[in-house]
Amino acid sequence: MRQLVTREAAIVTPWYPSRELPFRGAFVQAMVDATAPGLDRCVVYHCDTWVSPMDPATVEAVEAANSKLLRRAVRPVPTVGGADLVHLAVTTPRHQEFGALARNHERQLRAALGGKPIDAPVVHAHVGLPGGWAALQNARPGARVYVTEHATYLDRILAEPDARALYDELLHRVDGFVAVGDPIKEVLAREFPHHIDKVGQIPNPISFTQKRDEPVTRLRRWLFLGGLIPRKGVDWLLEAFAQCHAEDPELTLTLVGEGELRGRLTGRARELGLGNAVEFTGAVPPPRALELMREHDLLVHPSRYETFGMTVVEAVAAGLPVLVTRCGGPEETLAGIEDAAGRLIDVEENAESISDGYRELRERFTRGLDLEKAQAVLAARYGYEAVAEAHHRLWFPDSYRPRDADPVGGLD
Amino acid sequence: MQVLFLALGASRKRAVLAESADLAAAGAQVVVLVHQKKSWNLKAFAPGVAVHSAAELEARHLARRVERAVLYRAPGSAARALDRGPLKSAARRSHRAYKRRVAGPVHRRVFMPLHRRLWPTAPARMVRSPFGAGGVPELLVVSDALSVQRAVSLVEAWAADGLPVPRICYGIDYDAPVTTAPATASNAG
Repeated sequence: MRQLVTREAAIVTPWYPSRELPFRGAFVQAMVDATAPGLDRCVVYHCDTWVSPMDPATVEAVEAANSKLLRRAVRPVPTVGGADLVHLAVTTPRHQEFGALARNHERQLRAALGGKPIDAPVVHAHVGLPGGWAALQNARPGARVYVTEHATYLDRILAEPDARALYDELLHRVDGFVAVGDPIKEVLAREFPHHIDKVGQIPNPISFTQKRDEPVTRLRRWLFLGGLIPRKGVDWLLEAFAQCHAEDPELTLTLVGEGELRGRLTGRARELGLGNAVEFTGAVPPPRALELMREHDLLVHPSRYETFGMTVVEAVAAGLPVLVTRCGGPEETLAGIEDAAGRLIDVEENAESISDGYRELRERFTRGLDLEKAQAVLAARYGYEAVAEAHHRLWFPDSYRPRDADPVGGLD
Repeated sequence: MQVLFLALGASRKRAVLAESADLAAAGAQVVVLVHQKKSWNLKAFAPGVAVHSAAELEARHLARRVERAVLYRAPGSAARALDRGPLKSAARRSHRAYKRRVAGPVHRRVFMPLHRRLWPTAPARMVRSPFGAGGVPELLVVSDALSVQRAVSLVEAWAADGLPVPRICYGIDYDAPVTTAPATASNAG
């Protein structure tokens, strides 16, 4: 007879680090790593969207074949925090709209489950569509369903009438909805004011356990981590680096990530004579990204828009000063410790705002920063323990036992 | 261990390259089946990883080789023999017209349907030919959406031939020992 287990949760997510996309969903993995150790059982369902060009007949045939394959190919494997990982391929045609994609994830997760519901009293999904919808439709009767929204493209999702209707229904039916930061919460408040009472906030968790061997002494080795896409401001970053490199030829820049701009940036770096000073590493797995943070002197994060800005908090956790734009998430995550952690600059469509910001930061680096203070403040806000407690309190309000008398974090 | 990657859609190249390299480094015999080799940078594959196109393997079936000899090679030899002197341009034109109007349609409309009817499991047999006579992969890694149908047909054909069915996974990081019941999460606990 099966033993009664009280603290079980299932996590449903379209994003989780993989060989193909080592960066995608690092924050989901971190959330699992933080929360699973406090549970009796945790299963992560990674519904991996596999996109290929397919006509409608092929889409149907491939999905039918995949439903046969899923029963053979899906087996739990261990993942972080003692959780089990169930990975399934969700076969998807190119340019599938968000509503159709959500229903696609719902169907293919059901096929992987053999038609049975998810066997957990709590199901927590990441990304409203498709993750939240797939979780809601596959949760067992009586299960409590929660969703964390991270999508930077939420406005595009809600621009599609079908997806918007699903999202409205999702917000209506779930037990709780979590935004990782104010930018997402503001969109939800604007678009769904009738559901705003259900929307709370829990940040992404960050590990503060690994410190760098030697503190940063000079801001020479710049690091960028993220997609090489226009939204990340990498064009301006390269131009700003060229300006600063002209003043100090010892400066280097490492760009970690992949994206549509890689070819253009590589060519531009050559044109600017920066071939030896700029390195493109491509995408790297999250552990290597954290190592790189400990091997550099400054994180430059000139994004145009971020819902949270996890990389910025990870950099401070790794003892790395940050030069970052006020692009939504970072001004919230660094609130109160902006000058201790580095420097915030406005989002401007030019390179000078970045290069001027660097010069100002360099000038006050030795006397004005207090990274230890910044780390302590951020650990209390975004450390694994704080974020795990917020989730456990949300999932199991009746059995929640705080580790100390004054727990931090939680839905606000 | 013998491992077959199905990568016909070529849409998850980074995973295929990394996973095949890891397995080859660990001593596995690794075969990657692709739709077209030209879609891949073959030099990016690790040493020891064999890359084959599905069409190339299937064309090795004896009946296909006989058909090729009769329908293409013999007329080609005849055309080359005439490819000199005053008949040169006429021979070339005739051979091109023969391939377009006769050989191609006969291959597509007559031979291939007949081949599929007479030897329905031949493609599945030829796909496992890199593993040697009677060889079957122990692990089948399905690597993209366009490989899913082929995976199902291969497994069904091998099972129909009485061969052991390999473990199947969507990536080597998700491969786990097969238990008696499919270990989907609803019965894993």
